[in-house]
Amino acid sequence: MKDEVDLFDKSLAIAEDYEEQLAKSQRKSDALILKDEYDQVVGFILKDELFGIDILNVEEIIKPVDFTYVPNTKPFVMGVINLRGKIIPIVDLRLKFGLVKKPIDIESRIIVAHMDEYTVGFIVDKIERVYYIEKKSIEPTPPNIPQTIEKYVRGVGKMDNKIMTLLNIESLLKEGGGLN
Amino acid sequence: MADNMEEMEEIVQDFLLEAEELLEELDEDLVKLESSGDDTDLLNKIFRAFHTIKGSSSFLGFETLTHLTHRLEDVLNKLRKFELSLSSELMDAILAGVDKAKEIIEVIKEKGDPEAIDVEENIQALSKFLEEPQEPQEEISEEELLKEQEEEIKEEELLENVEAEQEAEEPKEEKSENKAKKSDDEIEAEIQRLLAQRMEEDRKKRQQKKQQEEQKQKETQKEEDKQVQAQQQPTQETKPQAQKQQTKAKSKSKPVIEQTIRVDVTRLDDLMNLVGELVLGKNRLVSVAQKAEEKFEGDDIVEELSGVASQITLVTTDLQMGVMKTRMVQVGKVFNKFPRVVRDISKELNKEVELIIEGAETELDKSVVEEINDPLVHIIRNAIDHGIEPKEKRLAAGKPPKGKIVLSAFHEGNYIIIKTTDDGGGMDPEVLKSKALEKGLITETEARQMTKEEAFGLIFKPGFSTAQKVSNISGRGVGMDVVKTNIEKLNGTIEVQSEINKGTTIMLKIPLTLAIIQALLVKVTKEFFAIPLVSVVETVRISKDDIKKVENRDVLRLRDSIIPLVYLGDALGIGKNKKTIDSKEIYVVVVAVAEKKIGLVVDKLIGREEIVIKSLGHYLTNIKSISGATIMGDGSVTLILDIPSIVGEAANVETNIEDHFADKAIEMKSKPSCLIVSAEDEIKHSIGQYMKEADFEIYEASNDKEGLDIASENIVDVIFIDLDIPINDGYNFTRLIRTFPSYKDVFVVGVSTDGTFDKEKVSEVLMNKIIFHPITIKDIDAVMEMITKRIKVA
Repeated sequence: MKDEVDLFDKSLAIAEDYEEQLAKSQRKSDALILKDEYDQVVGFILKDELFGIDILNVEEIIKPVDFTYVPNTKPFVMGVINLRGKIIPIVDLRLKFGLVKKPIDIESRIIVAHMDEYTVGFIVDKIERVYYIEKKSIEPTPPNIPQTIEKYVRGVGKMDNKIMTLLNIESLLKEGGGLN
Repeated sequence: MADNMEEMEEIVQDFLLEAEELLEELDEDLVKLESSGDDTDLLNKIFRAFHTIKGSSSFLGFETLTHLTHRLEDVLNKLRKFELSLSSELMDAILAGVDKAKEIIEVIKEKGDPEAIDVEENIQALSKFLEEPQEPQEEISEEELLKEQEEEIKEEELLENVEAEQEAEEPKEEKSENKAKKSDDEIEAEIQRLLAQRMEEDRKKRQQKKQQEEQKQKETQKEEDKQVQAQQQPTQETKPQAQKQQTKAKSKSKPVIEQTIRVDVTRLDDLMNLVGELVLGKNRLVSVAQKAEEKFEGDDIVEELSGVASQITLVTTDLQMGVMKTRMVQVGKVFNKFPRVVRDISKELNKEVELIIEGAETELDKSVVEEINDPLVHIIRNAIDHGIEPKEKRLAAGKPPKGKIVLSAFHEGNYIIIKTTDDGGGMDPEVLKSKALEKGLITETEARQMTKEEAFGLIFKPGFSTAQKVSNISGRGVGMDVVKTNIEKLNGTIEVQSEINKGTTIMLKIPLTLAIIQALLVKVTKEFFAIPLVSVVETVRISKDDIKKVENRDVLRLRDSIIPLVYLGDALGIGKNKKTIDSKEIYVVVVAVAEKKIGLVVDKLIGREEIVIKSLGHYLTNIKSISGATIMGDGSVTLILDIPSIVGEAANVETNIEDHFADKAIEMKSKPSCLIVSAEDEIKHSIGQYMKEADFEIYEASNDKEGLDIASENIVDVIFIDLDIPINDGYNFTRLIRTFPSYKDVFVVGVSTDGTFDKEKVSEVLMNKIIFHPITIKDIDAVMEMITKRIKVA
């Protein structure tokens, strides 16, 4: 179970040492202050690239479970699952972004994201961890991002040695998955 | 200030609720009054209702409403003192007044301006019946009222005195406060407080009145009884009536403390959801208990576990029923509006119609009750307009001049049946057909082939109307098709029976709740679906020889009718290349939507089950052919089919049932084949290599879903399945593949990557052999030896 990502696991979610380091470098001891200047983002991998969804939109992260295919939906809608009595649609983010399909494997996870009354589970290759991204280091979407993805991106977050594509969850969720 | 506004709002809300209820009752009582004539108790009741509304509305400052109800009260007062006699015109005026009052209530509800509504016409219409001007009339009436209820006065006076005292005191306070602060807010607050106080007092007064009335009624009843005994004339009428009133009065006086609470429906929905979850948990507990029992038979703890499981089962079932019942209301809530509707329509059409209501106490889900009102109004209108003949015609046909409509409701299993029967002219199928032909709704061939029932179904076609004249009630060809769509929305069905000169019966069959329905579970390719049982006519098992071709489409001759066949997989767009039908055992689910019947061909019938309907959520709305989803006992999701849309689209679906026969796949095969399902490339590669050498066709899949798809497109001779395959492991894969007709005894080899396997599961799902990674040629040889006899090649 070591690959299970538990958002309630303090060591993971708050990344204490990292926070401490930040606090030291900026002479701030109160974690609350951090919140104003940093976005907490769940980082995940999609075809070797790091993407992020704001933690406030993430309801939970689950291992892939058996889903039920729904006819007459867009190709990237894999089906629906039962999440404690609620029916949640599952979307393969690779297909949604026009990337090569990858079969579900041991590292695959479903990120259950929500906004208003919309709730969708996104299949991703792998969950990294929760990152703190300084708000001022978030830059607008660079022009070289493929058109298929562009409208779902709200910006790019720069960290010391990594960059992360931050997703615009609203546009992802509210587009809907039914065929008209 | 905000608080006071809220309080005021609450008072107004209370008033609106009360007034609405009273007005609704008034409708019923007034129509009753018209038929029963001079029923003093009823007159008094009606008078009191107007009086109450008048009182509350004047106190809340709704002047127009006060004005109107005041006049109505005057008229009623004259009626109950027999100074006026009830005529049809008077009743019209009163009813029109009640309607206007309802309108005002509606405007208040929607935060409009209630004073803007013109009541002058109603006032004038009512005033015609009052000879004297209204002002002194009112005072007389008040006095009369007081005289009549002498005991009550004392109480009222007492209360009024107290009130007066308070009122006398309070202005002083107000004044002093005014001087001190001159705060408008505070004045407002004070006024609000007084208002609330008065409201409270009014309430108390009303309760006391009720109690006294009850006493009085008891007394009068006793007196009546005595009289009856003395006179030795068993007037059967009065006795039950009096008794009824007594019980009514009793039940009314009892709830000094409120016995009901209003609950937001969403809260009940949440509860229902939770109960659904509990049911799932319970199912799991039961299955665990069973397994434990098998494993450790005789153990004390296991027995205790079974005991607990059965108790939980019992409680859960009761809880489920209980939560469902909280949403149930009596159908009378809708039915009781109909005496008025019938009266108005029959009057307008100059027909005499009597309405008989049966089974008003039958209960059904609140949301269903709200939806059936409009369809019923349409049906009743049609019955009066088209069904019931004019008086002369009825007399000529030897029927009583007064037409009769029976509106009844009763339970049948998990459905409620609502029947409207008229004793009118009935419908002639031939007339219906020619009318439909004339309007171009059907073709001549269709008309010829139509059965009587199908012809009756024509009345639900949009644009169909047999009325010669267009009245403002019916004849415009809208209505009955709306009825049909509304009932179908509720997963209900409509049945029409009619006999010329005898009458027509329209039967609505509606599930008791929208949340739980009976469904037939079927399997198509690797998917399971639920078909609402209400649309299922029958299920038949046929063989491939029973399928005939008409105009290159598959049909089935079932008794006297020809039914078009559609493979459900094709109808849902998931059947392409799938060969999962056993040609010797083909299952057909015959479904009907109104007059249209089709046969849905499925791979397998799983069974009948009660399912809880859930929505697919906001992300997936309006999905074609799917109306919702349900969660099965094992936690998996099964989709519920939208049968009306499938039937509607059936003609456009390209389907050839023969293409889906499993034998077809075997026929097409030139050499033996194998399927390797594993997420590990190494396993796929090593087994693949050995099998290729044995001259097998190789199919590979990386997860169970892919594997099942390949297995339903090509019938393979041996399957190698990784026990750890995502998503649902190898055991579940094997269990599912065994339900495919052509895989009942295909050789399945489990591949264990970590050297372990679950012996019990292996035998349970009928796995034939287990081999271990790394795989050697010896393993494959052993498998080959066991399968050579089974291989099927054309």
